Amino acid sequence: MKTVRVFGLLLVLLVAGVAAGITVGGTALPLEDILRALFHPRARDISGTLLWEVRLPRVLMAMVIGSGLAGCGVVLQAILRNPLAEPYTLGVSGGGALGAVIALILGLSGLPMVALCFGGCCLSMLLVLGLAALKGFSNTMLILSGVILSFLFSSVMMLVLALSSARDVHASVMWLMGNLGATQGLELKLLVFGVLPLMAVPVAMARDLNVLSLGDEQAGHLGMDVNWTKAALLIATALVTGMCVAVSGIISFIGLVIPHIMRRLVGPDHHVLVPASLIGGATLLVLSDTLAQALIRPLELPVGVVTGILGGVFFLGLLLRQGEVA
Amino acid sequence: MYGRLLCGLIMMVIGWPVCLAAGPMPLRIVSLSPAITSEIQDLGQAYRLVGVTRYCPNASGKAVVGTLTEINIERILTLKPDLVVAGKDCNRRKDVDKLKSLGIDVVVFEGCEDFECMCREFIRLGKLLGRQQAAQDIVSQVRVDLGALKAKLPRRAMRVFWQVGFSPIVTVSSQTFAGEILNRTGSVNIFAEVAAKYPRVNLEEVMVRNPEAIIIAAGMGGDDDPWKGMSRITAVRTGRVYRIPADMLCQPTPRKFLEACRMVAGVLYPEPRS
Amino acid sequence: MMPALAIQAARTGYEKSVVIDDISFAVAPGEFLGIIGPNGAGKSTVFKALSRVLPLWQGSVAWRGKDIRRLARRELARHMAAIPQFLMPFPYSVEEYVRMGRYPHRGRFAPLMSEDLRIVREVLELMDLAALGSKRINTLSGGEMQRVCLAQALAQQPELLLMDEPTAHLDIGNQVRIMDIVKGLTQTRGHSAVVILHDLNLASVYCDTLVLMHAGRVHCQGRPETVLKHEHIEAVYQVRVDVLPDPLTKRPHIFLRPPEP
Repeated sequence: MKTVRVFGLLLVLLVAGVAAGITVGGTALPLEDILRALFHPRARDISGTLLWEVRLPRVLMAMVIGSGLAGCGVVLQAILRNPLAEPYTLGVSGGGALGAVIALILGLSGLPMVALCFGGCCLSMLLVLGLAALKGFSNTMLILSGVILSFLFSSVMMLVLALSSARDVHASVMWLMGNLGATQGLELKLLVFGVLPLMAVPVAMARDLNVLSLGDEQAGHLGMDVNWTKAALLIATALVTGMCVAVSGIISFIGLVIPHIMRRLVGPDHHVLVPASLIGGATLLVLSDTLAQALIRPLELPVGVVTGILGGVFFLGLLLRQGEVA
Repeated sequence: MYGRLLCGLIMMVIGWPVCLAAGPMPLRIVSLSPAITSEIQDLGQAYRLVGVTRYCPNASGKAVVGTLTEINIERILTLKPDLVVAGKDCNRRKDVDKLKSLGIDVVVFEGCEDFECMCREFIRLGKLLGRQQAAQDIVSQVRVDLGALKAKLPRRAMRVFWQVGFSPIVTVSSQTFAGEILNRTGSVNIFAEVAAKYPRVNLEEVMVRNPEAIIIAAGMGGDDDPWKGMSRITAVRTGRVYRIPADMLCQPTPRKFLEACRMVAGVLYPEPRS
Repeated sequence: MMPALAIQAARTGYEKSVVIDDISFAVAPGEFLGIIGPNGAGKSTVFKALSRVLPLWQGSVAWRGKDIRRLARRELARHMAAIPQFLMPFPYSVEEYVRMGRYPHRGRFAPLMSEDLRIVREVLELMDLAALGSKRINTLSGGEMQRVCLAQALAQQPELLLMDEPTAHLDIGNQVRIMDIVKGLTQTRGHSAVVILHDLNLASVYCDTLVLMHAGRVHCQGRPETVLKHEHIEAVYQVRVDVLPDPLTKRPHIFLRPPEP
């Protein structure tokens, strides 16, 4: 059975990605040290500390954020029936980026920065949903208000940056490129207790996603209360996206490309597409982050650059091999 | 009537080559770089400034012609400057070209990261303002003071991680102003060798290189300690994580450099060698 | 007998402009009702009013005497299946697509039961689609696709089918096939059908009742022989026609009479 094979392959890739993430990491460690640290979690020599306090949290964070973004991408593509939809389409990232830049300029970090950034995400989500609700919650209105708010927020962000010093601009641009490096207990807790439970929403609502993807009218004919279903799904995705952005900055491409790749591999049925995308997103982000750390050691590449190149090349290959886009 | 005309003509004929040779001393200067503004003040020539940017120090009473990145060309024109000084590091090439094409005399200075360059450019500015001797005197004095500062410091070099950003972790190489401060205060920058000036580095790599002191020079949260709990790092364990105001570190002038070195030395080596 | 579905003095439209006004007709159980009329007459708007996509400004739509606005959407979808003009979604397999018809019968988080799967299998058999179950819908022909849409609607186990131009873009073989299936459902199972049609002769052959629409209103309604009269057709469509009875079935047949050159 093809689906089973694909899931087997995805799980193998994920395990391989995690193994690579643990063994490669940001600095060269002998393999036996890593294995010893892995099986003796109490021993806190340098490799133990690196493994348990730096690498594993980072790998875990990459997995959660990767699945979160990919899951949101699937949901938005189904709701909006638009192959270009991705987690940032509805402008969530714009508010988040503005919040983060303001936090950077005010000199905040840690919890206040995460809170400000997440607040920005929620604000833009509320504005988009509110604007769309005024006009019957249509997809066109959702996309348009998302795009317009993105522009608005990024213009305000430009304004803030134009009025601030070069140092803040540099820090903001670095932040915007996305980064998984500064894992702290707080961020990890937010992801594990915030994002993971919300990921259950698209898994549980797979049938609703199928029906919604037929279009609002057909979904209504099949007895769905379209507006409420959409609102529930959109709020869940916006919360997930907001938390991911607040923790890791803007990591692009995963939410766009993973759903497409998975739709080609397992088909569009959301009962399998959603879990496949969750696994695929986790895999791609773990692998990308490992590469981002390893390629130009001791320096790091912005992980968004690696996801963009990896995802883009892979997707292009699929596209050329199979013809028309799903 | 004719006499006056003739007089003027003669003066032009005589005066023209003189002007060409020496050039007029600029008296209406617009500075587009905070560092150059502060250098002009060091030279005691602040009275010649008519326009500055928003971030220039102690320049109250001067017209503000823009922020660091966005300058108001019309405002500059209405000030009728006879000289505009700009920094390669903070002004856009396009803006400089535009000003030149409007017939304004623009002189662009390097955005220096190392001390020798700062001295060179400072003397060049002095020459431009007719204060070459004063500039040279200041440079000599700074060199003497730097030597004296270094002589007071412990001989053993401390390994320092200089941090300018936490999310992502960004540090400095030796090719930067901050790196130069570490060089000149006899400290070792644990990422001195990297090629990029402001590289993103890996947390693991910082832990492995294990600095003895961490200097955080970003405008980041006041009390929040990003290194809390990472006692694997010597600097964290021994409480040598310092925050310094980043404003000190963005003006590449000889005097500001000396001040910055003094401050960093004071932070890193609180008790002078006995 | 109480009609299955009745629309009464309905008026609605888009934004501020009225598109249909004073629309009233009813369809009985087992009745095949066709809605005909020129482009822009408001047929699709009636479809949207009947299927609760568009709220009414005046009047009402009632399912077995009960205003549809007072029924839960899920409940309405168990009685009435609407097939709008087809929009290509993601390339689901035929079976996945038809399974979505079970949506109104199961709670949001409840899995499909073996009963649901049995109904889907029966519907696929009925529509002659059993062999195509795992085929992607974007690879189907127009006739197959129309049958898949009908299959999804039947998986809802409705008592009434509402269809917007089910024969558009189909060859006559497939047109007849679709219409035969729907006709069969009305005759053997007592389903009602409300179908928007463009082909007047097709409508004449299959429909028990016709509603002729013109400029947002009902021009006339009744049995095909009373509606398909040349004066009605010439008034509504602005063409010259002759209407003659089919020699075998006696149903009216329309002949176009373009002006002689």
